[in-house]
Amino acid sequence: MGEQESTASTIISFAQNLEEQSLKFYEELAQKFAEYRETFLSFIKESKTNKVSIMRSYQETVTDAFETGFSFKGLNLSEYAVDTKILKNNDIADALEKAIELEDKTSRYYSVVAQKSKGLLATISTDFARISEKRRKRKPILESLLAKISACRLIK
Amino acid sequence: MVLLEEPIKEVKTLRNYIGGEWVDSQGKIRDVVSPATCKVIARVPISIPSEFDAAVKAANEAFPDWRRTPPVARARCLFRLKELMEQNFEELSRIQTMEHGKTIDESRGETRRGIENVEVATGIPSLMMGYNLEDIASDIDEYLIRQPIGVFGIIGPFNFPFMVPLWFAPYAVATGNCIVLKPSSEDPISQCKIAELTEEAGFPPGVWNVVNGDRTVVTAMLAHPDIKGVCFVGSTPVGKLIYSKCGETGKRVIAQAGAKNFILMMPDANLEKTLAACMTSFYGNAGQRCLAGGNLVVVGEGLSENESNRLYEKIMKFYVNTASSIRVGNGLDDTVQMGPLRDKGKKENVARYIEKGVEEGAKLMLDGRNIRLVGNWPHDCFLNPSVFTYATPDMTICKEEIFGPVTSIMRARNLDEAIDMIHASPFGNSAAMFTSNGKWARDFQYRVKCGNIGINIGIVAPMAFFPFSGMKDSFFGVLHGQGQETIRFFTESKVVIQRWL
Repeated sequence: MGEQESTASTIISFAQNLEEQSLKFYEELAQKFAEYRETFLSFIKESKTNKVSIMRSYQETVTDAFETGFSFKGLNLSEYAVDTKILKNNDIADALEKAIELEDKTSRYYSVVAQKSKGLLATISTDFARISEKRRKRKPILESLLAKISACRLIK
Repeated sequence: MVLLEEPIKEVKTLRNYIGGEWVDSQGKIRDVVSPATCKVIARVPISIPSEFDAAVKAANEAFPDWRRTPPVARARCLFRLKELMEQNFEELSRIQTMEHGKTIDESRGETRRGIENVEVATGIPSLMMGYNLEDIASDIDEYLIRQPIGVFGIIGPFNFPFMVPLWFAPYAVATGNCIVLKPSSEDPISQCKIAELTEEAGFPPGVWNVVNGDRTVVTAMLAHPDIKGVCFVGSTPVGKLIYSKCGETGKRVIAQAGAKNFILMMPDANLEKTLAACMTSFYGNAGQRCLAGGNLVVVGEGLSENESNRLYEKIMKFYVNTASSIRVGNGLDDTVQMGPLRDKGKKENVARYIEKGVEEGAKLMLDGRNIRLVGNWPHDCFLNPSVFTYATPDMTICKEEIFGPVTSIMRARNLDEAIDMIHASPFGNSAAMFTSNGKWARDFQYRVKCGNIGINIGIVAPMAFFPFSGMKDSFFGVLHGQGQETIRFFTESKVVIQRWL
């Protein structure tokens, strides 16, 4: 095929996978780094809600008037893939760096698909934009945790 | 390539749903074959007339109690049905993809459109209200009430096996009637699944009946004295026949029939967005829908001949390029944009039209008979998109409904000429115009004799709360399916004039 084109179903599956991946990642972090558990648990809760609301929005707006097969041009999904594997020797700083990358890419993904779905039906685009914003807000939280940890290390 | 999980795990013989019981048919059994894989996924009985009669009898027996059931209680059955459909949304959608071949996005869209009709019908306590006027004369009041009529027959088409029967069935039962529904024998599984859900939703036995079969059942339906009306969606010749038979026997009828839809592209249209809409319009559901685009007319309104030529060349190249990149394959692969035709015979029919187009002198710029698939599937039912250019109104491909993934790109010097082309067609289902010019759009909407008009909309599919319109050879009847008109169709208007002496 010529220019990269993704179906609505692919877009939704990818979003669902991102939320699922995030969920598992933060569950692992919550177990491993108990002192930051509350923050990670709040992310987990949010991702569960996101998953449900994405699927609901899609199912409620996908109709045959929705140009599903042809509306997501030029979207390279591999650009938004993230490695969230935590290695044995990874400390909290490594984990937070991965988390920041995850949030950055995920937020960008939602923002791009929100733009591309704008001309279709309102709710799906609004939902993507809202989730993008929610994910974007996680980044400064994670960055401040990382800064705090780095500062503690310097003092030590 | 990753396929979504198939919901149909074993090959079952479907049964009829009559009087709240699942009943084996004595009729012959046919295979239901998934067009993408060519595998048998179910077996469907071709019911005999006595089985249809039994369903009508059950419906007739259920009618007196059901019509007395308060509308709000009938609506609650529909609320439960809607909820069950939501819970089974994905399974219902995947069944459609397996039995029909359409892509999973299209199936989910179809499921949603079907559910929307159930949602609208839940408003029956308001929708069914009559009206009144006091003192039409001294101490005399007059009012209108809407009453259900009895048993209605619904004949489902193969192209939207889930949604189309729901243009009628929820409204029929909401207004207090009972139904006998005959799904298409090519893809009957969705309707059997819906019948299971109606049972779970608590519809009383006999209100919602399903009899599988073919024209034998249709013939029995048209002749049966207890069938008060028939709803049909399918081809024009069959629609005409049903209309006349119903006329002979005094039945009400909604017969939504064939189409040859024109899409006009004006010089000021947004090319990229128009073509995205055209792709879904012409190739969605592999072109097997009565709202599918058939002829794309590039209109040179206000342009010189040279400018018009350049515009045509540009659109043609862009169109062929876009159409050739459509990914065709098994609809359960969610990266696929177009599925197979419903069966081999339908594919061969479309291929014959392509051959005819070549014979009659249209230029075949993209030949969908050269099959390129995502994944390794039997080619039996597949075609890729085809595009003809330099097509003219007198050609068979521009006049007849192909019901497949074929676009004929035509030219018109101006809007008048384009509208004349539309009016030369015997069909009047839908027509669309792509433009940024409000005056042209208004002129188009005002003049064109088609039931469903799109302005910058490729598939002019009315929502459940509007009628699905149609004119000329695309519709036979008076009232249309969906929304308020359907409420009128399924009820008798009784006028009471009252004076207390």
